[in-house]
Amino acid sequence: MIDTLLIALAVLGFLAVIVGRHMMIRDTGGELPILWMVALRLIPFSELVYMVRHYTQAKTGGIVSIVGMWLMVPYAGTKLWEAQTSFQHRMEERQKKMNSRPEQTSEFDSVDFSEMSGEAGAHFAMARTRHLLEKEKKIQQLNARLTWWFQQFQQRRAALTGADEATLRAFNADAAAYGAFNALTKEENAELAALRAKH
Amino acid sequence: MQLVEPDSPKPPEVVRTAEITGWRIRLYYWTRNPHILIWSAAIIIGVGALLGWQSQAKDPQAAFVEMFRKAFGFRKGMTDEDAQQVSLPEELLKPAPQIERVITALKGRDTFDSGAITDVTDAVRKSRLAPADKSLALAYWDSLASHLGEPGADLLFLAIQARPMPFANELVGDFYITKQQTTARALQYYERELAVRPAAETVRQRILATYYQKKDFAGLGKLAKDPGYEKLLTPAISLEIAMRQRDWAGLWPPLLALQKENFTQHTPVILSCVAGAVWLLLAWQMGQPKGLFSFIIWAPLVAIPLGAASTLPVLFLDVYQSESWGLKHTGLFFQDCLFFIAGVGVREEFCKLLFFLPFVPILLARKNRLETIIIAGCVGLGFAVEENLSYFRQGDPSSAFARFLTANFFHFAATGIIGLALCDTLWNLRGKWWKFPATYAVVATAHGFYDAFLSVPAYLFVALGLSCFILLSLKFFREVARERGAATDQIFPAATLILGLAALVATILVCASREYGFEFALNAILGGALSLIIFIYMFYILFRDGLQEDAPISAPVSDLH
Repeated sequence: MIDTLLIALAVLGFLAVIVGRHMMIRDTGGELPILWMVALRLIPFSELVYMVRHYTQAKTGGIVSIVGMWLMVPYAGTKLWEAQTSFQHRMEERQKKMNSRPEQTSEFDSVDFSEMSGEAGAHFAMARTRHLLEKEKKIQQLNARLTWWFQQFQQRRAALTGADEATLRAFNADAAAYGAFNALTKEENAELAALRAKH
Repeated sequence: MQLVEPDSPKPPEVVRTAEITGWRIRLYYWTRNPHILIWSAAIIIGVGALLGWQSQAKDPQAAFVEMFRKAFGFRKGMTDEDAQQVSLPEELLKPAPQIERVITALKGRDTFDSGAITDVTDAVRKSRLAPADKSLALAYWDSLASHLGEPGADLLFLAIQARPMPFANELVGDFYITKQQTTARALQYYERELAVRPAAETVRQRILATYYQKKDFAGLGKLAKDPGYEKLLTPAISLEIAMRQRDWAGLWPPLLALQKENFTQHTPVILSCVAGAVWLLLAWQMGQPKGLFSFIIWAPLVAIPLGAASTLPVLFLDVYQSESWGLKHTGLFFQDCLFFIAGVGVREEFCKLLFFLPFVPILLARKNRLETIIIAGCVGLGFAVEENLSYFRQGDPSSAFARFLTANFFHFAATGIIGLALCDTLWNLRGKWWKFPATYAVVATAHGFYDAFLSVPAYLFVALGLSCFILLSLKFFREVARERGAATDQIFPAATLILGLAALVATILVCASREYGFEFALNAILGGALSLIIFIYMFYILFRDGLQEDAPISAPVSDLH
């Protein structure tokens, strides 16, 4: 119902634009150059420029034309608003999908090799293997560092008996750092396990 | 012509063959001669092009980089270190290489060629870097060469120590900041780096950038209170923090800083002033001053700065209405119509009117409608000049040309009409009490529709936006024409417009060439030429015919062609 009303208003408006432009030509008393007559019937914005130039003569026709354009606004505005809203919804949906993806541990997680051509698939598979090898190397180094650090602590702990407060404070700070490194190594080990499971 | 004694019985003898000359007469005809006008404009633009060509920027790219940095970055210094090209061999061969420069150089090295990786590793080992710095550089290089996109074991080990080395935590943070899921971890490492190097501005900038990216304004608000971070925040970011936290009093300092920033760059200031000066000349011409010391000459010089100051409350209301009432630009047609009509139109016209009020008692006493409309218009012009500064600063110089014709005149006309309506109402409060509220509502609505419709890329809306502009212009010109005296203008107002436009084009060519190169300046002028020609034509007609009420505008159409 509302749609029909809006369309009827828009059609009425369109007719008013045509009538308004015709009135502008008529009100000049037939003395209008042919170029202006063609422009006023066909060229966008010409009625506005013409109205500036011959306001007294073109006033009535110009205002009828503008009123006609206003009558088209509800329909055109609704269509525009619908298109904009639909586009915005699509963008929001896409954003939601992006946000709801599970966390990736590496850039290869999201790659589906089955959909790739043979050469591209082989290339990515190689890159993933290389990534896994690098990660394994890193974990080995972390584990080695952790073991070395632990041994250092054991030796330092044995020598702590009777140590002054400053030495104790330094030891405790290092112990906290070691604890953090230990936790980090565990996290990295878990990441490696997840990577291996996916490989 | 022979002078005759007043009491002489003979009537004065008119010698029609005698030529009337003098510079005033010549000026009258010259400014109405289209050939002289076109050639004068061409010469002005030609001189501008020549100066622009000679003074064009040697490195236009640097200007664009600076423009983008200003648009998207925090304070200067954030990207400077990264942008520097440090030669690794040169740095490592120095007697005392600096670890900071070595790290910067390592970032730019090839990490895909295994031979190059080994060469860099060897070079670092053999360098005269301090042993601790050497181990840090090697740990960082190993992390880069692994292509894991995360810090290596050695770098983590160096960073996590109870007394970590300078830069170690920053480098770890730099790896983690690149992934969304590890930004929290990156922030922890950056905080640790600040404990080691409290003066590290780049680290603080990255922390701010991370909070901003996460839209964590509560966190940014806390950081903003720390003097270490406060100085790194741009006024725009400070404004957003205050806005999101609804700290209305806290909005004023960044707003003021933003306004001050508008005056720091030469090009926008020059362009805006030239564009404003041309309209001021036209305003003076419209006002028909009686002499150099007349009210209409000096009052606009006060009105323009007052109008410029009115942008500050407008910005405040913009932020307040956006955050408190949800009145913001959404990109949806009906919501935007509401935003432009109930928001932009009403607040801008209100604030301009507010700054016109100091003139009202004087104008009421002078009872001169022409002075009233021109001075109110100049308040609007001042507003447009200041507003243009922000637009020119954010956009490219081509916008200067468009806004010169549209925004400057629109604000001039809108405030002029409203100011006149206010004084008309006050002069005749009983008879015309309705005039001011009705005019204000109509002009503010037209302003809103003009802004709302011109941003929609469809003929119907652009035409209706332009019709708001044209009807407002016609109303303004008719009011001015009604009040102007019968005296003919010595200098043709349309000539002032044409020569003023030519001067603006020349200024744009010189200023844009100096910053962005001649080719860019030329493209900026030619880019929107077609739509602007329509505006120039309309204004030419308005200034040619619209400033006199009688003869030209109501003459038969055939006479006007």
